[in-house]
Amino acid sequence: MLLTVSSNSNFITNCIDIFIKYRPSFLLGIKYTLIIALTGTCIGLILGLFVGGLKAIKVEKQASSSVKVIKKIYDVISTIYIEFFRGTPMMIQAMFIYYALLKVFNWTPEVAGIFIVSVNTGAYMSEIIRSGIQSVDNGQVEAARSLGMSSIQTMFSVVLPQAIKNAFPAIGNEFIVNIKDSSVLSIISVTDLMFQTKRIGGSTFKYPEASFVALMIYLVITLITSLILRQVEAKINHVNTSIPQSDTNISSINLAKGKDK
Amino acid sequence: MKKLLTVLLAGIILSGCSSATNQETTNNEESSTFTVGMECNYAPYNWTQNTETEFTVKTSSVDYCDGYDVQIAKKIAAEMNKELVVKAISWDGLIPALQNDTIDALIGGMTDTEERRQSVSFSQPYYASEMVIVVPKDSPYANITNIQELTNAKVVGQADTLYDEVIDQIEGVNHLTPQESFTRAILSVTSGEADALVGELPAAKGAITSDSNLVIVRFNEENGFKADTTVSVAVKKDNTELVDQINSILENISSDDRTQLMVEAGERQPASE
Repeated sequence: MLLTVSSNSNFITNCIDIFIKYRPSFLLGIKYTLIIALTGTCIGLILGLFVGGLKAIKVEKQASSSVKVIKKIYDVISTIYIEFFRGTPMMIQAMFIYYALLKVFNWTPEVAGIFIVSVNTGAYMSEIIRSGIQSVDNGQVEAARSLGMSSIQTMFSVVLPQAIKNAFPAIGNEFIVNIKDSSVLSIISVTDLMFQTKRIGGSTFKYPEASFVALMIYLVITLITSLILRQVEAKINHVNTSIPQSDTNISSINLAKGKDK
Repeated sequence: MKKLLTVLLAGIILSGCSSATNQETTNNEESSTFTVGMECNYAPYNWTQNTETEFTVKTSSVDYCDGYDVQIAKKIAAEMNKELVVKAISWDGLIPALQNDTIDALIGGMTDTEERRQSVSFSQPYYASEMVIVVPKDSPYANITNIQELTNAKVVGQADTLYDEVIDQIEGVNHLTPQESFTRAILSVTSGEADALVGELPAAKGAITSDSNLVIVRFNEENGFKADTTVSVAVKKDNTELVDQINSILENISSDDRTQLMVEAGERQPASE
Protein backbone atom coordinates (compact mmCIF):
# COMPACT_ATOMS: atom_id res chain seq x y z
CA MET A 1 0.00 0.00 0.00
CA LEU A 2 2.71 2.47 1.03
CA LEU A 3 4.80 1.32 -1.91
CA THR A 4 2.02 2.04 -4.36
CA VAL A 5 1.51 5.44 -2.84
CA SER A 6 5.16 6.46 -2.96
CA SER A 7 5.85 4.96 -6.38
CA ASN A 8 2.99 6.99 -7.80
CA SER A 9 4.37 10.50 -8.01
CA ASN A 10 0.98 11.78 -9.12
CA PHE A 11 -0.64 10.80 -5.84
CA ILE A 12 -0.89 14.28 -4.33
CA THR A 13 -1.96 15.83 -7.65
CA ASN A 14 -4.68 13.17 -7.97
CA CYS A 15 -5.86 13.91 -4.43
CA ILE A 16 -6.12 17.62 -5.19
CA ASP A 17 -7.93 16.89 -8.48
CA ILE A 18 -10.43 14.62 -6.74
CA PHE A 19 -11.04 17.16 -4.00
CA ILE A 20 -11.63 19.97 -6.50
CA LYS A 21 -13.83 17.88 -8.77
CA TYR A 22 -15.93 16.35 -5.99
CA ARG A 23 -15.88 19.27 -3.56
CA PRO A 24 -19.70 19.55 -3.34
CA SER A 25 -19.97 15.83 -2.52
CA PHE A 26 -17.31 16.08 0.17
CA LEU A 27 -18.97 19.20 1.61
CA LEU A 28 -22.34 17.44 1.79
CA GLY A 29 -20.63 14.56 3.57
CA ILE A 30 -19.00 16.96 6.04
CA LYS A 31 -22.39 18.60 6.66
CA TYR A 32 -24.08 15.30 7.56
CA THR A 33 -21.12 14.09 9.62
CA LEU A 34 -21.22 17.30 11.67
CA ILE A 35 -25.02 17.36 12.03
CA ILE A 36 -25.08 13.73 13.19
CA ALA A 37 -22.11 14.11 15.55
CA LEU A 38 -23.41 17.37 17.07
CA THR A 39 -27.08 16.45 17.55
CA GLY A 40 -26.09 12.92 18.56
CA THR A 41 -23.74 14.23 21.24
CA CYS A 42 -26.28 16.78 22.53
CA ILE A 43 -29.17 14.31 22.76
CA GLY A 44 -26.72 11.76 24.19
CA LEU A 45 -25.67 14.26 26.85
CA ILE A 46 -29.27 14.94 27.85
CA LEU A 47 -29.94 11.19 27.96
CA GLY A 48 -26.77 10.66 29.99
CA LEU A 49 -27.72 13.42 32.44
CA PHE A 50 -31.02 11.74 33.19
CA VAL A 51 -29.86 8.14 33.13
CA GLY A 52 -26.58 8.77 34.95
CA GLY A 53 -28.06 11.40 37.30
CA LEU A 54 -30.97 9.22 38.38
CA LYS A 55 -28.67 6.25 38.72
CA ALA A 56 -26.37 8.10 41.11
CA ILE A 57 -29.21 9.21 43.44
CA LYS A 58 -29.27 7.20 46.63
CA VAL A 59 -32.66 6.32 48.02
CA GLU A 60 -33.19 7.53 51.59
CA LYS A 61 -33.44 4.89 54.27
CA GLN A 62 -36.85 6.14 55.39
CA ALA A 63 -38.27 6.12 51.86
CA SER A 64 -41.31 3.95 51.26
CA SER A 65 -40.71 0.43 49.99
CA SER A 66 -42.40 1.20 46.66
CA VAL A 67 -39.84 3.95 45.97
CA LYS A 68 -37.09 1.47 46.78
CA VAL A 69 -38.55 -1.12 44.39
CA ILE A 70 -38.93 1.43 41.58
CA LYS A 71 -35.33 2.53 42.07
CA LYS A 72 -34.16 -1.10 42.00
CA ILE A 73 -36.01 -1.75 38.73
CA TYR A 74 -34.65 1.50 37.27
CA ASP A 75 -31.10 0.51 38.22
CA VAL A 76 -31.43 -2.84 36.48
CA ILE A 77 -32.91 -1.34 33.29
CA SER A 78 -30.35 1.46 33.09
CA THR A 79 -27.49 -0.99 33.64
CA ILE A 80 -28.78 -3.19 30.82
CA TYR A 81 -29.06 -0.13 28.55
CA ILE A 82 -25.54 1.09 29.36
CA GLU A 83 -23.86 -2.30 29.10
CA PHE A 84 -25.66 -3.23 25.88
CA PHE A 85 -24.73 -0.08 23.97
CA ARG A 86 -21.20 0.11 25.36
CA GLY A 87 -20.56 -3.56 24.80
CA THR A 88 -21.66 -3.94 21.15
CA PRO A 89 -20.25 -2.32 17.98
CA MET A 90 -22.15 0.74 16.76
CA MET A 91 -21.96 -0.54 13.18
CA ILE A 92 -24.05 -3.61 14.00
CA GLN A 93 -26.39 -1.56 16.21
CA ALA A 94 -26.94 0.70 13.19
CA MET A 95 -27.71 -2.19 10.85
CA PHE A 96 -30.03 -3.85 13.33
CA ILE A 97 -31.90 -0.81 14.66
CA TYR A 98 -32.32 0.90 11.27
CA TYR A 99 -33.99 -2.07 9.61
CA ALA A 100 -35.82 -3.32 12.71
CA LEU A 101 -37.56 0.01 13.28
CA LEU A 102 -37.93 1.06 9.62
CA LYS A 103 -41.52 -0.18 9.47
CA VAL A 104 -42.38 1.53 12.76
CA PHE A 105 -40.93 5.01 12.17
CA ASN A 106 -40.51 4.98 8.37
CA TRP A 107 -37.36 7.02 8.98
CA THR A 108 -34.59 8.19 6.68
CA PRO A 109 -31.08 6.78 7.23
CA GLU A 110 -30.02 10.22 8.49
CA VAL A 111 -32.67 10.34 11.24
CA ALA A 112 -31.89 6.73 12.14
CA GLY A 113 -28.20 7.68 12.26
CA ILE A 114 -28.88 10.51 14.73
CA PHE A 115 -30.98 8.15 16.84
CA ILE A 116 -28.28 5.48 16.93
CA VAL A 117 -25.47 7.90 17.74
CA SER A 118 -27.68 9.46 20.44
CA VAL A 119 -28.54 6.26 22.29
CA ASN A 120 -24.97 5.04 21.92
CA THR A 121 -23.52 8.30 23.23
CA GLY A 122 -26.18 8.31 25.96
CA ALA A 123 -24.75 5.07 27.34
CA TYR A 124 -21.22 6.47 27.46
CA MET A 125 -22.43 9.83 28.80
CA SER A 126 -24.29 8.10 31.65
CA GLU A 127 -21.00 6.67 32.84
CA ILE A 128 -19.17 9.98 32.29
CA ILE A 129 -21.83 11.85 34.28
CA ARG A 130 -21.80 9.19 37.00
CA SER A 131 -18.03 9.55 37.43
CA GLY A 132 -18.46 13.34 37.30
CA ILE A 133 -21.00 13.08 40.11
CA GLN A 134 -18.64 10.94 42.14
CA SER A 135 -15.99 13.64 41.78
CA VAL A 136 -18.22 16.17 43.58
CA ASP A 137 -17.32 16.31 47.26
CA ASN A 138 -19.81 14.57 49.51
CA GLY A 139 -19.87 17.63 51.77
CA GLN A 140 -21.83 19.45 49.07
CA VAL A 141 -24.56 16.83 49.24
CA GLU A 142 -24.62 16.95 53.02
CA ALA A 143 -24.84 20.74 52.97
CA ALA A 144 -27.70 20.68 50.47
CA ARG A 145 -29.55 18.00 52.42
CA SER A 146 -29.13 19.89 55.70
CA LEU A 147 -30.72 22.91 53.99
CA GLY A 148 -33.77 20.72 53.44
CA MET A 149 -33.38 19.89 49.78
CA SER A 150 -34.66 16.52 48.61
CA SER A 151 -32.24 14.05 47.06
CA ILE A 152 -33.59 14.80 43.56
CA GLN A 153 -33.29 18.57 44.14
CA THR A 154 -29.75 18.07 45.46
CA MET A 155 -28.83 16.05 42.42
CA PHE A 156 -30.18 18.39 39.76
CA SER A 157 -29.39 21.80 41.27
CA VAL A 158 -26.23 21.19 43.32
CA VAL A 159 -24.37 18.10 42.19
CA LEU A 160 -25.06 17.91 38.44
CA PRO A 161 -23.92 21.45 37.49
CA GLN A 162 -20.57 20.76 39.14
CA ALA A 163 -20.42 17.24 37.73
CA ILE A 164 -20.90 18.58 34.18
CA LYS A 165 -18.13 21.09 34.73
CA ASN A 166 -15.77 18.38 35.98
CA ALA A 167 -16.74 16.02 33.19
CA PHE A 168 -16.51 18.63 30.42
CA PRO A 169 -13.24 17.32 28.92
CA ALA A 170 -14.72 13.81 28.70
CA ILE A 171 -17.96 15.16 27.18
CA GLY A 172 -15.99 17.09 24.55
CA ASN A 173 -13.96 14.00 23.83
CA GLU A 174 -17.18 12.09 23.19
CA PHE A 175 -18.07 14.70 20.52
CA ILE A 176 -14.73 14.17 18.76
CA VAL A 177 -15.20 10.40 18.94
CA ASN A 178 -18.64 10.82 17.36
CA ILE A 179 -17.25 12.85 14.46
CA LYS A 180 -14.98 9.93 13.63
CA ASP A 181 -17.20 7.00 14.60
CA SER A 182 -20.27 8.25 12.74
CA SER A 183 -18.38 6.95 9.69
CA VAL A 184 -19.68 3.45 10.48
CA LEU A 185 -23.19 4.72 9.64
CA SER A 186 -22.28 4.54 5.96
CA ILE A 187 -23.38 0.89 6.30
CA ILE A 188 -27.01 2.09 6.36
CA SER A 189 -26.30 4.58 3.53
CA VAL A 190 -26.25 7.76 5.61
CA THR A 191 -24.67 10.31 3.23
CA ASP A 192 -21.91 11.17 5.68
CA LEU A 193 -18.29 11.85 4.75
CA MET A 194 -17.40 8.14 4.70
CA PHE A 195 -20.30 7.21 2.39
CA GLN A 196 -19.44 10.08 0.03
CA THR A 197 -15.79 8.98 0.02
CA LYS A 198 -16.78 5.45 -0.96
CA ARG A 199 -18.95 6.80 -3.77
CA ILE A 200 -16.21 9.08 -5.07
CA GLY A 201 -13.61 6.31 -4.85
CA GLY A 202 -15.92 3.92 -6.69
CA SER A 203 -16.83 6.41 -9.39
CA THR A 204 -13.26 7.44 -10.21
CA PHE A 205 -11.49 4.13 -9.43
CA LYS A 206 -9.19 6.21 -7.20
CA TYR A 207 -9.82 4.72 -3.77
CA PRO A 208 -6.50 5.60 -2.07
CA GLU A 209 -6.73 9.23 -3.18
CA ALA A 210 -10.36 9.62 -2.07
CA SER A 211 -9.55 8.00 1.30
CA PHE A 212 -6.56 10.28 1.79
CA VAL A 213 -8.67 13.38 1.11
CA ALA A 214 -11.27 12.10 3.61
CA LEU A 215 -8.56 11.44 6.22
CA MET A 216 -7.32 15.01 5.88
CA ILE A 217 -10.87 16.38 6.15
CA TYR A 218 -11.55 14.35 9.31
CA LEU A 219 -8.23 15.51 10.77
CA VAL A 220 -8.96 19.20 10.09
CA ILE A 221 -12.45 18.91 11.59
CA THR A 222 -11.25 17.17 14.76
CA LEU A 223 -8.32 19.57 15.19
CA ILE A 224 -10.61 22.60 14.91
CA THR A 225 -13.12 20.97 17.27
CA SER A 226 -10.55 20.21 19.95
CA LEU A 227 -9.26 23.77 19.66
CA ILE A 228 -12.75 25.16 20.24
CA LEU A 229 -13.39 22.71 23.09
CA ARG A 230 -10.15 23.77 24.78
CA GLN A 231 -11.22 27.44 24.57
CA VAL A 232 -14.61 26.63 26.09
CA GLU A 233 -12.96 24.58 28.82
CA ALA A 234 -10.62 27.46 29.71
CA LYS A 235 -13.61 29.80 29.87
CA ILE A 236 -15.57 27.47 32.17
CA ASN A 237 -12.64 27.14 34.52
CA HIS A 238 -12.20 30.92 34.70
CA VAL A 239 -15.66 31.61 36.04
CA ASN A 240 -14.90 32.20 39.67
CA THR A 241 -17.96 31.28 41.62
CA SER A 242 -16.52 31.94 45.08
CA ILE A 243 -16.60 35.76 44.84
CA PRO A 244 -19.53 37.03 46.93
CA GLN A 245 -22.11 38.73 44.76
CA SER A 246 -25.07 40.86 45.71
CA ASP A 247 -28.28 39.12 44.90
CA THR A 248 -31.13 41.60 44.54
CA ASN A 249 -33.60 39.13 43.17
CA ILE A 250 -36.93 39.72 44.93
CA SER A 251 -37.42 36.07 45.72
CA SER A 252 -33.95 35.85 47.25
CA ILE A 253 -34.67 38.86 49.46
CA ASN A 254 -37.93 37.33 50.57
CA LEU A 255 -36.16 34.08 51.26
CA ALA A 256 -33.59 35.86 53.37
CA LYS A 257 -36.33 37.68 55.28
CA GLY A 258 -38.02 34.39 55.90
CA LYS A 259 -41.08 35.41 53.89
CA ASP A 260 -40.71 32.60 51.44
CA LYS A 261 -44.36 31.68 51.58
CA MET B 1 -26.40 27.51 30.11
CA LYS B 2 -30.18 27.46 30.07
CA LYS B 3 -30.25 29.59 26.91
CA LEU B 4 -27.74 27.32 25.26
CA LEU B 5 -29.82 24.27 26.11
CA THR B 6 -32.99 25.91 24.79
CA VAL B 7 -31.26 26.78 21.51
CA LEU B 8 -29.92 23.24 21.18
CA LEU B 9 -33.27 21.68 21.96
CA ALA B 10 -35.00 23.96 19.46
CA GLY B 11 -32.43 22.98 16.86
CA ILE B 12 -32.94 19.30 17.50
CA ILE B 13 -36.71 19.58 17.32
CA LEU B 14 -36.50 21.65 14.14
CA SER B 15 -34.11 19.24 12.45
CA GLY B 16 -36.41 16.40 13.49
CA CYS B 17 -39.39 18.17 11.98
CA SER B 18 -37.69 18.99 8.71
CA SER B 19 -36.61 15.41 8.20
CA ALA B 20 -40.09 14.24 9.10
CA THR B 21 -41.61 16.45 6.41
CA ASN B 22 -39.06 15.17 3.87
CA GLN B 23 -40.19 11.66 4.62
CA GLU B 24 -43.83 12.58 4.15
CA THR B 25 -43.31 14.12 0.74
CA THR B 26 -41.57 10.98 -0.53
CA ASN B 27 -44.51 8.92 0.64
CA ASN B 28 -47.08 11.14 -1.01
CA GLU B 29 -45.20 11.13 -4.28
CA GLU B 30 -44.92 7.38 -4.29
CA SER B 31 -47.65 6.93 -6.85
CA SER B 32 -46.14 9.36 -9.37
CA THR B 33 -42.49 8.37 -8.97
CA PHE B 34 -40.39 5.33 -9.77
CA THR B 35 -37.71 4.98 -7.08
CA VAL B 36 -34.64 3.00 -8.05
CA GLY B 37 -31.78 1.95 -5.79
CA MET B 38 -28.15 1.50 -6.84
CA GLU B 39 -24.70 1.93 -5.30
CA CYS B 40 -23.66 4.92 -7.45
CA ASN B 41 -20.10 3.66 -7.15
CA TYR B 42 -19.93 0.84 -9.72
CA ALA B 43 -18.80 2.52 -12.92
CA PRO B 44 -19.78 2.19 -15.73
CA TYR B 45 -23.08 0.75 -14.44
CA ASN B 46 -23.60 3.58 -11.97
CA TRP B 47 -21.37 6.32 -10.65
CA THR B 48 -21.49 9.71 -8.92
CA GLN B 49 -20.49 13.08 -10.31
CA ASN B 50 -21.06 16.70 -9.28
CA THR B 51 -22.06 18.09 -12.65
CA GLU B 52 -25.53 17.85 -14.10
CA THR B 53 -25.89 16.56 -17.67
CA GLU B 54 -28.78 15.29 -19.76
CA PHE B 55 -27.86 11.76 -18.61
CA THR B 56 -27.73 12.35 -14.85
CA VAL B 57 -30.28 12.00 -12.07
CA LYS B 58 -29.95 13.95 -8.83
CA THR B 59 -29.38 11.77 -5.75
CA SER B 60 -28.75 14.49 -3.16
CA SER B 61 -28.52 18.28 -3.13
CA VAL B 62 -25.12 18.09 -4.87
CA ASP B 63 -24.63 14.56 -6.18
CA TYR B 64 -25.70 13.38 -9.63
CA CYS B 65 -25.77 9.75 -10.66
CA ASP B 66 -25.09 8.53 -14.21
CA GLY B 67 -24.24 5.23 -15.86
CA TYR B 68 -25.76 2.35 -17.82
CA ASP B 69 -28.18 1.51 -14.99
CA VAL B 70 -29.40 5.11 -14.83
CA GLN B 71 -30.11 5.13 -18.58
CA ILE B 72 -32.08 1.87 -18.31
CA ALA B 73 -33.95 3.24 -15.29
CA LYS B 74 -34.76 6.40 -17.24
CA LYS B 75 -36.21 4.38 -20.11
CA ILE B 76 -38.34 2.31 -17.75
CA ALA B 77 -39.60 5.36 -15.85
CA ALA B 78 -40.40 7.17 -19.11
CA GLU B 79 -42.47 4.22 -20.36
CA MET B 80 -44.31 4.09 -17.05
CA ASN B 81 -44.97 7.85 -17.21
CA LYS B 82 -43.39 8.27 -13.82
CA GLU B 83 -40.72 10.56 -12.49
CA LEU B 84 -37.43 8.74 -11.86
CA VAL B 85 -35.90 8.99 -8.38
CA VAL B 86 -32.50 7.41 -7.76
CA LYS B 87 -31.33 6.51 -4.26
CA ALA B 88 -27.68 5.79 -3.50
CA ILE B 89 -27.57 2.77 -1.20
CA SER B 90 -24.60 0.58 -0.27
CA TRP B 91 -24.57 -2.93 -1.81
CA ASP B 92 -25.57 -4.72 1.43
CA GLY B 93 -28.49 -2.37 1.88
CA LEU B 94 -30.04 -2.74 -1.58
CA ILE B 95 -32.12 -5.90 -1.02
CA PRO B 96 -33.30 -4.77 2.46
CA ALA B 97 -34.33 -1.46 0.86
CA LEU B 98 -36.52 -3.35 -1.63
CA GLN B 99 -38.07 -5.43 1.13
CA ASN B 100 -38.83 -2.32 3.18
CA ASP B 101 -40.38 -0.42 0.24
CA THR B 102 -37.68 2.24 0.41
CA ILE B 103 -37.20 1.64 -3.32
CA ASP B 104 -39.48 0.25 -6.04
CA ALA B 105 -36.74 -1.45 -8.06
CA LEU B 106 -33.07 -2.30 -7.82
CA ILE B 107 -31.15 -1.58 -11.02
CA GLY B 108 -27.58 -1.96 -9.86
CA GLY B 109 -25.79 -4.53 -11.96
CA MET B 110 -27.19 -7.44 -9.94
CA THR B 111 -27.29 -10.96 -11.39
CA ASP B 112 -30.38 -13.12 -10.99
CA THR B 113 -29.44 -16.05 -8.73
CA GLU B 114 -31.43 -18.79 -7.02
CA GLU B 115 -30.26 -17.55 -3.62
CA ARG B 116 -31.38 -13.96 -4.22
CA ARG B 117 -34.73 -15.19 -5.60
CA GLN B 118 -35.55 -16.28 -2.05
CA SER B 119 -35.84 -12.60 -1.12
CA VAL B 120 -36.60 -10.67 -4.33
CA SER B 121 -38.05 -11.19 -7.82
CA PHE B 122 -36.04 -10.57 -11.00
CA SER B 123 -36.92 -9.28 -14.46
CA GLN B 124 -35.38 -10.51 -17.71
CA PRO B 125 -31.68 -9.55 -18.03
CA TYR B 126 -31.02 -5.96 -19.14
CA TYR B 127 -27.37 -6.54 -19.97
CA ALA B 128 -25.21 -9.56 -20.73
CA SER B 129 -21.56 -9.30 -19.95
CA GLU B 130 -18.48 -11.47 -19.74
CA MET B 131 -16.39 -12.61 -16.79
CA VAL B 132 -12.77 -11.57 -16.96
CA ILE B 133 -9.82 -11.19 -14.64
CA VAL B 134 -7.77 -8.05 -14.06
CA VAL B 135 -4.04 -8.40 -13.36
CA PRO B 136 -0.99 -6.09 -13.34
CA LYS B 137 0.64 -5.69 -16.77
CA ASP B 138 3.88 -7.39 -15.66
CA SER B 139 2.08 -10.25 -13.93
CA PRO B 140 2.92 -13.88 -14.87
CA TYR B 141 -0.83 -14.32 -15.31
CA ALA B 142 -1.20 -11.57 -17.94
CA ASN B 143 -1.16 -14.02 -20.87
CA ILE B 144 -3.02 -17.04 -19.54
CA THR B 145 -5.84 -18.59 -21.55
CA ASN B 146 -7.40 -20.93 -19.01
CA ILE B 147 -8.68 -20.01 -15.56
CA GLN B 148 -7.10 -23.19 -14.19
CA GLU B 149 -3.68 -21.59 -14.73
CA LEU B 150 -4.48 -19.44 -11.70
CA THR B 151 -3.81 -22.38 -9.34
CA ASN B 152 -2.07 -21.12 -6.18
CA ALA B 153 -2.68 -17.51 -7.20
CA LYS B 154 -4.27 -15.09 -4.75
CA VAL B 155 -7.62 -14.12 -6.31
CA VAL B 156 -10.12 -11.58 -4.98
CA GLY B 157 -13.70 -10.49 -5.79
CA GLN B 158 -16.46 -8.23 -4.47
CA ALA B 159 -18.34 -9.57 -1.45
CA ASP B 160 -21.82 -11.04 -2.02
CA THR B 161 -21.39 -11.08 -5.80
CA LEU B 162 -21.17 -13.83 -8.37
CA TYR B 163 -17.63 -12.71 -9.20
CA ASP B 164 -16.57 -13.85 -5.78
CA GLU B 165 -18.40 -17.17 -5.94
CA VAL B 166 -16.87 -18.24 -9.29
CA ILE B 167 -13.35 -17.94 -7.91
CA ASP B 168 -13.82 -21.38 -6.38
CA GLN B 169 -14.06 -22.85 -9.91
CA ILE B 170 -10.28 -22.47 -10.07
CA GLU B 171 -8.73 -25.56 -8.54
CA GLY B 172 -6.25 -24.97 -5.72
CA VAL B 173 -6.82 -21.23 -5.77
CA ASN B 174 -6.00 -19.00 -2.82
CA HIS B 175 -9.43 -17.36 -2.53
CA LEU B 176 -8.91 -14.14 -0.59
CA THR B 177 -11.50 -12.53 1.67
CA PRO B 178 -13.82 -10.58 -0.66
CA GLN B 179 -13.78 -6.78 -0.64
CA GLU B 180 -16.84 -4.64 -0.01
CA SER B 181 -16.79 -2.89 -3.40
CA PHE B 182 -15.38 -3.49 -6.86
CA THR B 183 -13.00 -0.52 -6.65
CA ARG B 184 -11.74 -1.72 -3.31
CA ALA B 185 -11.00 -5.11 -4.93
CA ILE B 186 -8.97 -3.35 -7.65
CA LEU B 187 -6.94 -1.73 -4.90
CA SER B 188 -6.09 -5.24 -3.67
CA VAL B 189 -4.54 -5.98 -7.06
CA THR B 190 -2.67 -2.67 -7.47
CA SER B 191 -1.28 -2.92 -3.94
CA GLY B 192 -0.07 -6.50 -4.45
CA GLU B 193 -2.44 -7.91 -1.85
CA ALA B 194 -4.00 -10.07 -4.59
CA ASP B 195 -2.61 -11.46 -7.86
CA ALA B 196 -5.85 -11.21 -9.79
CA LEU B 197 -9.38 -9.89 -9.53
CA VAL B 198 -12.49 -11.44 -11.03
CA GLY B 199 -15.01 -9.00 -12.44
CA GLU B 200 -17.10 -8.30 -15.46
CA LEU B 201 -15.94 -6.66 -18.65
CA PRO B 202 -17.50 -3.14 -18.49
CA ALA B 203 -16.35 -2.51 -14.93
CA ALA B 204 -12.92 -4.00 -15.65
CA LYS B 205 -12.57 -1.68 -18.66
CA GLY B 206 -13.23 1.26 -16.37
CA ALA B 207 -10.54 0.03 -14.01
CA ILE B 208 -7.87 -0.19 -16.69
CA THR B 209 -8.71 3.28 -18.05
CA SER B 210 -7.94 4.73 -14.64
CA ASP B 211 -4.78 2.67 -14.08
CA SER B 212 -2.61 1.92 -17.13
CA ASN B 213 -0.61 -0.67 -15.18
CA LEU B 214 -3.53 -3.08 -15.26
CA VAL B 215 -4.65 -5.39 -18.05
CA ILE B 216 -7.75 -7.47 -18.67
CA VAL B 217 -7.47 -11.20 -19.40
CA ARG B 218 -10.39 -12.69 -21.34
CA PHE B 219 -11.14 -16.39 -21.74
CA ASN B 220 -13.07 -18.35 -24.34
CA GLU B 221 -16.27 -20.06 -23.27
CA GLU B 222 -14.62 -23.42 -22.70
CA ASN B 223 -11.73 -22.27 -20.51
CA GLY B 224 -13.47 -19.41 -18.69
CA PHE B 225 -15.70 -19.20 -15.64
CA LYS B 226 -18.95 -21.10 -15.85
CA ALA B 227 -21.50 -18.57 -14.69
CA ASP B 228 -24.46 -16.43 -15.59
CA THR B 229 -23.10 -12.98 -16.44
CA THR B 230 -26.35 -11.20 -17.08
CA VAL B 231 -27.72 -8.47 -14.87
CA SER B 232 -31.41 -8.03 -14.09
CA VAL B 233 -33.77 -5.59 -12.45
CA ALA B 234 -34.86 -6.73 -9.00
CA VAL B 235 -38.22 -5.83 -7.45
CA LYS B 236 -39.99 -6.75 -4.25
CA LYS B 237 -40.65 -10.49 -4.04
CA ASP B 238 -43.78 -11.65 -5.87
CA ASN B 239 -44.58 -8.24 -7.36
CA THR B 240 -45.31 -9.97 -10.69
CA GLU B 241 -47.23 -7.00 -12.03
CA LEU B 242 -44.14 -4.77 -11.89
CA VAL B 243 -41.90 -7.55 -13.24
CA ASP B 244 -44.20 -7.98 -16.27
CA GLN B 245 -44.33 -4.25 -16.83
CA ILE B 246 -40.51 -3.95 -16.68
CA ASN B 247 -40.04 -7.00 -18.92
CA SER B 248 -42.26 -5.58 -21.63
CA ILE B 249 -40.28 -2.32 -21.55
CA LEU B 250 -36.92 -4.14 -21.61
CA GLU B 251 -38.07 -6.17 -24.64
CA ASN B 252 -38.13 -2.98 -26.66
CA ILE B 253 -34.48 -2.16 -25.92
CA SER B 254 -32.56 -4.15 -28.55
CA SER B 255 -29.20 -5.72 -27.83
CA ASP B 256 -27.58 -3.20 -30.21
CA ASP B 257 -29.11 -0.39 -28.19
CA ARG B 258 -27.79 -1.98 -25.01
CA THR B 259 -24.27 -2.29 -26.37
CA GLN B 260 -24.44 1.30 -27.57
CA LEU B 261 -25.65 2.54 -24.15
CA MET B 262 -22.82 0.66 -22.41
CA VAL B 263 -20.15 2.02 -24.79
CA GLU B 264 -21.44 5.55 -24.24
CA ALA B 265 -21.53 5.06 -20.48
CA GLY B 266 -17.96 3.77 -20.59
CA GLU B 267 -16.91 6.92 -22.43
CA ARG B 268 -18.71 9.26 -20.01
CA GLN B 269 -17.46 7.66 -16.78
CA PRO B 270 -15.22 9.88 -14.61
CA ALA B 271 -12.20 7.56 -15.00
CA SER B 272 -12.18 8.15 -18.77
CA GLU B 273 -11.50 11.87 -18.48
